[in-house]
Amino acid sequence: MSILILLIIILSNLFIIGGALALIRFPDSISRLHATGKAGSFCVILLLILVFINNPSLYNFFKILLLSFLVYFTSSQAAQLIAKASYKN
Amino acid sequence: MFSDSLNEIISLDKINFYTSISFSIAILIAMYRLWKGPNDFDRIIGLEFLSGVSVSIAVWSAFIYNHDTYIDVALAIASLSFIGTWIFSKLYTRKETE
Repeated sequence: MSILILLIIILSNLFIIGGALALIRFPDSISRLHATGKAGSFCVILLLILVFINNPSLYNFFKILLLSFLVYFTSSQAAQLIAKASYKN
Repeated sequence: MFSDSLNEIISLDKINFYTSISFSIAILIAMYRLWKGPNDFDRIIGLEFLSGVSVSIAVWSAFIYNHDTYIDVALAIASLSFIGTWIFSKLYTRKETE
């Protein structure tokens, strides 16, 4: 079980570094938007799975479900809004 | 509590140190993109990524300190950052169409 926790932590660090590297290295505004939205959201989801493995309870489960729904919903909607604003420009 | 069984392989302080370095690098790159983006939309993207990293830091401190209250902090940061991104995006579209 501790190997799984260590793997989740290493994967989460890799995704946040990948998102930051994509933010500084990609040439266009739309490609930066494409990379950072998914990498940041997936890092948050991996850390939420880590918190639920560490302390499993029903109250914690519903809070984590609400936060993961909120993160994915707002990330996609914000990406849509920024892309529409950048397309109208 | 599985974070105690993790302590046999590698120390929790060392994991916290390396993860803090990774989050700091991500925050510095997002601040660089926020400071000099070529566009206005690059600044909004940098702000969104910065809020995502801060949500991730709040969830990480919920794991490392064994407090579940930090998840509420992450929820508040996520909902407020969505409102900020929405407002900035609407502002720049309205300025371009008029």
